[in-house]
Amino acid sequence: MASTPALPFHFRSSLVLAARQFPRNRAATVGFVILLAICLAAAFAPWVAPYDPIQIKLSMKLKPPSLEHLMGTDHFGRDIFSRMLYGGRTSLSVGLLVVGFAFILGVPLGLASGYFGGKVDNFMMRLVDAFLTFPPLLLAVALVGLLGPDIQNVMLALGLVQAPILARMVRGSTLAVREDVYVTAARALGASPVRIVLSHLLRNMVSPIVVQLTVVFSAAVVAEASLSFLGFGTQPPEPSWGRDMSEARRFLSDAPWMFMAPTSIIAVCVLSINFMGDGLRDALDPRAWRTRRSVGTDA
Amino acid sequence: MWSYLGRRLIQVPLVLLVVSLMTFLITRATPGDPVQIMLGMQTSPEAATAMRKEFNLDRPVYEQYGLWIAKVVTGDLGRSMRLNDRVTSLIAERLPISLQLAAAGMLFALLVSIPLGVIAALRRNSWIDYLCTGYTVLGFAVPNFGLALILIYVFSIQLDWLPITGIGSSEAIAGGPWKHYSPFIIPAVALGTLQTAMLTRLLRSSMIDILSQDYMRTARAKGLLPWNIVVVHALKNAMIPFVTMAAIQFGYMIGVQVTIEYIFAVPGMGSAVLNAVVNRDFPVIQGFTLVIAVFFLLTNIAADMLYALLDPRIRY
Amino acid sequence: MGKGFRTTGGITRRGFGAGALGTGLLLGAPAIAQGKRDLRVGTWGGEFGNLSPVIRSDIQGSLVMYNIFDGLVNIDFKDRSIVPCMALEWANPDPLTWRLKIREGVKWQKGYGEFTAEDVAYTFNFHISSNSFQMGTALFPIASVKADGKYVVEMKTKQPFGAFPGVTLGYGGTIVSAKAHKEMGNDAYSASPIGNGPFQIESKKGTEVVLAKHPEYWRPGFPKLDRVTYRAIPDSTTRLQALQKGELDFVTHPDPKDMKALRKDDKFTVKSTPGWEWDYQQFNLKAKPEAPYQNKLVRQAISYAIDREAIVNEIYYGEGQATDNQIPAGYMGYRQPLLKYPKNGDLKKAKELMAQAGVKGYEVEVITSDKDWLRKELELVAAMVSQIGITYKIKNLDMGGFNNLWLNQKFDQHLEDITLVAPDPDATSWWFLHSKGNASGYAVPSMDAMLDGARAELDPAKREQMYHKIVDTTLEDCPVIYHCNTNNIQVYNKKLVGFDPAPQEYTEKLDTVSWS
Repeated sequence: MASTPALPFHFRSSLVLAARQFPRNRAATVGFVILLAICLAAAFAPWVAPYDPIQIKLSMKLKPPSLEHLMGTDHFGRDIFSRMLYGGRTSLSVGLLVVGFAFILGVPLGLASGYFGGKVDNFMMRLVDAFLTFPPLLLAVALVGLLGPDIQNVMLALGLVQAPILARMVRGSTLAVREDVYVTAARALGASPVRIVLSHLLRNMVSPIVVQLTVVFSAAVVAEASLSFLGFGTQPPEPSWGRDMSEARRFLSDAPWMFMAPTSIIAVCVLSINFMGDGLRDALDPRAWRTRRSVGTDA
Repeated sequence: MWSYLGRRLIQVPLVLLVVSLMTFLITRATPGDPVQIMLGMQTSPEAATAMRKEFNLDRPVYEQYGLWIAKVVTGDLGRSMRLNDRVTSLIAERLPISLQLAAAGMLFALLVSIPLGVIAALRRNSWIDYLCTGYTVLGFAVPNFGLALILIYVFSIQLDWLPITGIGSSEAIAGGPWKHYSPFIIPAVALGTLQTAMLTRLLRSSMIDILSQDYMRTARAKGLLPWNIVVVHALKNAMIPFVTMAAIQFGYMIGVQVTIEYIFAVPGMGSAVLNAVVNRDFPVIQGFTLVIAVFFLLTNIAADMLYALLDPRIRY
Repeated sequence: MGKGFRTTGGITRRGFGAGALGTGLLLGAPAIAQGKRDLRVGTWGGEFGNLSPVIRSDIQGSLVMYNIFDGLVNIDFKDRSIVPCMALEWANPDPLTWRLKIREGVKWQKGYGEFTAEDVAYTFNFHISSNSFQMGTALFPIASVKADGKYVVEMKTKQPFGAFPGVTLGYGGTIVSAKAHKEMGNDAYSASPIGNGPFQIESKKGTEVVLAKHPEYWRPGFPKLDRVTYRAIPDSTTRLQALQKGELDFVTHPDPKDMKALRKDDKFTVKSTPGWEWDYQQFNLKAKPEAPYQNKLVRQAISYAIDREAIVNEIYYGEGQATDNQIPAGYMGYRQPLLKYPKNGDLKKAKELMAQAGVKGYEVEVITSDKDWLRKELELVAAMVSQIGITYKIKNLDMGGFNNLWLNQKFDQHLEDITLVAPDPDATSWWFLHSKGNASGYAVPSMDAMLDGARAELDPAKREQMYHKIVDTTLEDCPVIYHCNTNNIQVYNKKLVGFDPAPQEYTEKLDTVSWS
């Protein structure tokens, strides 16, 4: 027990180091700034948006991008730029909540399963298996059907799909790291399981977890779009990137801007998240600090 | 290892039991009276009663489940309420098509992701690494239906090179290999791009991890191992998470085909489940979920076996 | 990124290039081999299930079924009348008896012998004994059916039923072969039925049905095609693209948005026929007695607030007719499409009615199903009614979820479309307005009496007057608000001839179609 107070200190010092490391990665910084900008724009949409995103104005329908309408207008004459700003609120909150849900559920499950092994592992992996075997769409549709077509239910469904994937991955990494020399050594020295998990296993897995969480985030944004495509997404008139994208498919040849706007915003958003994820990954992994120098000289 | 395989296989029925129970509860709790939906507005109470009796829907849920399981054990998955066809024969029609499409998608993913991931890891922060990042972003960012629409627009409409529909149609099957397999190309690329992105990314990051391990750097610095052997060893280690992910993704690919199946009119498992869910066709939902689960479990066991083969540190 | 695209493009282009060469070589062959006696049809939907008329109806199966079976009567779409088919003539010697004369010399497919009065009696009695879905729809008035010799059928009804020829013989009059049905069993018959129509089943799998010519078809010289392949293609854009690429010859239910451009294309014919399909809003008058829409003035205000022409133009791109009532052109009781409410609505009047009702503005949940045109229409309608202070809270459900709320009357208000299979005003009125109709919360004894009376009336002239009154009451009370009739659109290769304009896709017969 005497060793526990040292733990937060360790963690903090590495976080401080990581925070210093992060801005050195230019792509990550740019990604972070863009993502922050998108988030702020979405959060302050009522003040930023030039038009009402749901006001139908048929005389203005299908207008190409212009100074008046930066991204053009849609089939109901609504300003696409304004819809993108408001839609960001839906799409980003879906992404964030799914990430949170997957992390809270997936990581502890995977860690416990991988670390303890044996019966616990068996039981948890069978549970994960059972969840993973569900076609995600059926799960989403069933939940949306059960609880009503609502954005919260879409999030819950996507989270339940993503959490087991994360759990399995964490468990796999735990299995691999658990046999590493330093973990065996720590165990031999009598370190408690909590300490081993937190200070050895988790620290060594931060980078795959971060990478996976960025994957979860983008997968959630994309999955929300797919659900909308099949008609199980968010409810109109609230705009969402996914639904706007699926509605725009009918106009792909005569109003391509309708399709391009949500598609590129999703792409930019995911790009930023990925760059940020990469930056975080490098910043959090001390080995990568040195690696970049050594690989940099060979490459 | 064989005993581990045996143990895993023994657990399969257990997982299936959990899965089927969950499906059963979800379907039964889903609002929507299948009989009402099947018979529509202009129905008589007598017709509805007759149909409820025909599908045991007038019994309590546990009894329905018991009756269903008892039949499943004998290989009988029941009869679709909407299509009036045996669930097993529906599966026999659709499973091969879904498997072919999943295999085509995975083939595309592997062919692209392995070279791209390895080269990107070796040449970090080079143009090829950025290309790799760009490609993975494209894969994650553009939903597969969006990509499918773009590919159709370019390769079918504008260039007129590839057909849009035709997977599984008798005309395509009778028309020779090109006619048979060409409809798979666009859907497979659209379907496999996400997997390509995932796998490339994963391979790149695990390769970087391994190449930066102390023993690797030491070995190289000392000149103990030639560069290509280092890469081969690193790749072998990096393949561990890669194979797991690939297997999970392959197991998943049947369940995620729905949007693609919808666009390309593919008679696969996903669209059958979607139609069954929308119409509350319970026997089809139950039967198809069970088969998808079996497929998923088997691919996962295969992944774990490969895991053990590739990483000697892992003992089961 | 730029570099990336070029490189991946290069790799794929080589692969596709080789493919394109393959297409050039192979595509030629089937085009010649196919000849011009095959037809490839693209329909909407998922899978073709039940094809038997005595098992619960499957919408998708119905697309095919009417080419396998010839019913007792046909519908002449030009003057919307019921004309003889298997039944040559029908008469009711007394109000409760109907005698049908059956056509002689009609052969069942695949060698199952002659079509006789016994088959008719067997089919109707099977419906009755198995309590089939038709007992709630077309056959509810039937008390007994028996064959009187080989070519006469006598039916007794429980009540006089004016819609007997259209509803009972039309919708319920698809007959199965007694011999085949007994031999094969009910379930096997549904997968591969023996019919008496122009085409017989060659093969059937999930999303594809192949029909071949019935060699012993009773109409000499028909059908003109040897083979018809139906493929279900759920996405309307894909369906049309496949037609344009030559993967199909004929598609139904295309996206109306594309029709304007397609009409200019000299390779295809677009046939757009005023349909029997309605878009309508319905109020649940049983639930929530305190809801503002319980006031008929509010419902009228909503109807006045709707710009029906805008719906037809924005949602259906002109392929439809604005209407405010339940009788489409050609039906008994038809007067004109718009009887009370102007085509562009009347906002002033709507606001006046709201003021008169003393309702300031309120929020209400409105449900619709998974048809994307309805979801768009609902968004548009929500914008229209917002002008009179009503907020529609939209809830898009899947078909199952919608039907559950709708048929079990757990909704407040909904927007849907419906297609009717029998050309009789009873089919468009009774189920929506009668207190015993399953979905409507509307229960007015005088309306029930009018509906039942019109049903029991056998004199067409008198029936017509009764339906005028029913329509006028509907327009006044607004339990249902009609928006428009949508067209049935068929698009096909210009070289195809012989299509009858069909008001709905379920009755499209292909026996007269041929390649020129």
